[in-house]
Amino acid sequence: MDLAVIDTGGWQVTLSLKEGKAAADHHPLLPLARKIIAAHPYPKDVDIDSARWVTEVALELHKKWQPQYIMLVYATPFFAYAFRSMVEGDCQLVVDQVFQEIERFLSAADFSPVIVGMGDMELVVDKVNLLDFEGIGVAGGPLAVEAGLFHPSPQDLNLALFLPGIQKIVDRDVFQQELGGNPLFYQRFPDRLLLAEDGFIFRGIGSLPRPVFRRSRWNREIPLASPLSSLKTIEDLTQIAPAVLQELSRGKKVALILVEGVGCASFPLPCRRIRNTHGWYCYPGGGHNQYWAVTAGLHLTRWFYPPGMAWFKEDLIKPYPFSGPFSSLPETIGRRFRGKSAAVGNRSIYTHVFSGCQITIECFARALYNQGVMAVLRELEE
Amino acid sequence: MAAFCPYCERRCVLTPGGRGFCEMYTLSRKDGQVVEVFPHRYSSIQVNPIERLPFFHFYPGSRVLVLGGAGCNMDCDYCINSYVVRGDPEEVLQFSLPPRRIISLAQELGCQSIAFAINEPTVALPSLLELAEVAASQGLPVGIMTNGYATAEATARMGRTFAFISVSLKSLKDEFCQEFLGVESVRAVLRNLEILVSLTHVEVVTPVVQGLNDRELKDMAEFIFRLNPEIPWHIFRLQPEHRMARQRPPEIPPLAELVQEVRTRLPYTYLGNFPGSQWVSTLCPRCGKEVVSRLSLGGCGAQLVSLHLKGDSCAYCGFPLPFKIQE
Repeated sequence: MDLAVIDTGGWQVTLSLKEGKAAADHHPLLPLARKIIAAHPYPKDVDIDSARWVTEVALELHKKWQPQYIMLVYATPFFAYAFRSMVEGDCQLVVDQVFQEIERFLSAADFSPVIVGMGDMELVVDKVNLLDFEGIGVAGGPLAVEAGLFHPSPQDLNLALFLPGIQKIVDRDVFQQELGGNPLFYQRFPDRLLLAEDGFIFRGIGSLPRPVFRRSRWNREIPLASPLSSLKTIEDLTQIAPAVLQELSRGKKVALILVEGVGCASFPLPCRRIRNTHGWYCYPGGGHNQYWAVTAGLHLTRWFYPPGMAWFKEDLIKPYPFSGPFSSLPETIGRRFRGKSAAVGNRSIYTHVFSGCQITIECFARALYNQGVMAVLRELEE
Repeated sequence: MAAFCPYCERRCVLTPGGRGFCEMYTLSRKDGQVVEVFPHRYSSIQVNPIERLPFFHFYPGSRVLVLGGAGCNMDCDYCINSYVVRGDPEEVLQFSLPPRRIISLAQELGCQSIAFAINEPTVALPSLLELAEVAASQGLPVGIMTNGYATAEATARMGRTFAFISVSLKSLKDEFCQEFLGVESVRAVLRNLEILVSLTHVEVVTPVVQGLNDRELKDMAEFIFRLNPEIPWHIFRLQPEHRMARQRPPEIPPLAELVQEVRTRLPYTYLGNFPGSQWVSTLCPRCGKEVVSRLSLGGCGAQLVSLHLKGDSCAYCGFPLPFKIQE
């Protein structure tokens, strides 16, 4: 059974990851997980110490578990840029500090790195109010650049053409004709997908009213830095996962390091530019579909969770209650790799959902409220 | 021309164009009435399971349309929503939604009720009363989460109009109110709790600040017991924000111990606002079986897992339980 161990201010509970109920304490990695999460309380998301936390926990896992594959998520730049008013010079300081933390990890542990910048961010200049529509305008979270419009009226479609801040309106059938994929993907797809113009964000059903300063830019390319030969020829973000698996199969120790809020314009290392697109569709940086594309090696239409979907419909009783809206855990690098694996990240549930590793340690933060640390332990094969 | 605000216990003196403490009311130049500055304006609109708010005993397992506004009549040092409560209302209140639009959204989104829950409803009361009256005519109950610091008249109106109300009982001491909440006395809150309990479905929430109000919890339990031992009481492990952001959240084991003890007198006492809490389910006071199982996913409230009720009674032993079940 996969387990979740949560530490809240020193109090710990062990749960079944799939059911969410208290579970028996039998897992070879449980003592280690408990010790690490007790020793490393999480700072706040917007605190630069959150990057330091990722490195500290990763080094401890490296020392005590010695994985061949490790996935690290540094989301600190994303949180800092989105929720703090910062001048460009301060942004550069955050990038520098995060890359110092990455360097600290790599110099202490003998992994070959695959460092991916998930994309630059840009200033928010205005908002698009989706409740001006007669249909249901859904925009989850505090800085949505994609939104779903359900049951639009003819007037809505006219309004969408002229409302400032909307770059593109895509009919579900047109999306399917152009980008294809899994029919299940389109079951949750909105009648119309709305994409924001540069600098705009959507506010509608599900939006958090927290003040925001920067949003993900439409990055058609993202940076990739790696000394590994398999990674030197790839051109697209979905080629990262098969290349990493190939290197692992050759016996290499690989660290896949995802850095949110950093793109080609701010990436401080020599890098390749790879496509962050599927056809005309561009992945928003740090969105669930970008994580899926990088870690599962498949484009978004091969999964079940389209942009602009009504997330709240996934809110009632379902499996994996501590995995956000997802009802199953995807086949990502960590799940497909048979050797020892581990992950650490400060992008809360995305870390364990997309790592699939034998042990994942992540912050338990929701909407910037820091509630502790969670370790997810995958059932080990005999 | 001047008038006292009739909604909040502060009773600010309002003049034409002037505003009171909460910034949300003024005196109309036209007819000298106290009016809202931002009627029918909201900062957020969400869809949630009702247990998330938390309401554990009203329409369990249902979906609720959750509205938020701006402003407050208290000034809590530890406020967790200060970014909307203390934000510029003109900026924060981004949605203009008349009652019929909210009701049609609730119906289209499959919600069985509507709740105002992010900030204090007393500062937007005329709009919310109007919403509740129109929604009631459509068979849709409206609820609120309040700090209880309204006038007795406004409170009675709330109790008669809203189908479910959560009251935040933060302390029993005037000194605490003066030092940490920015109001003079707790008397109005205690008085209003009595009024509301006699009029509508009430659940009580107590945010615990370690070292400040945790020593009062047993006295609070006694106060709630005297009101009605069947009141659901949510003890919250508060993670202070705003001016107390550096304050440590409470330790869980002493609170859990207290909940076990208090449940002998107040069987519907819960401990939450942290992930994995084992004290968010309802046990039947007679047979001890878990009649409503919930998971605490972190943040406020919980999520329903299973319901073992027959009508509003325990499905195992038939003991009547204080749940409002949707007809």
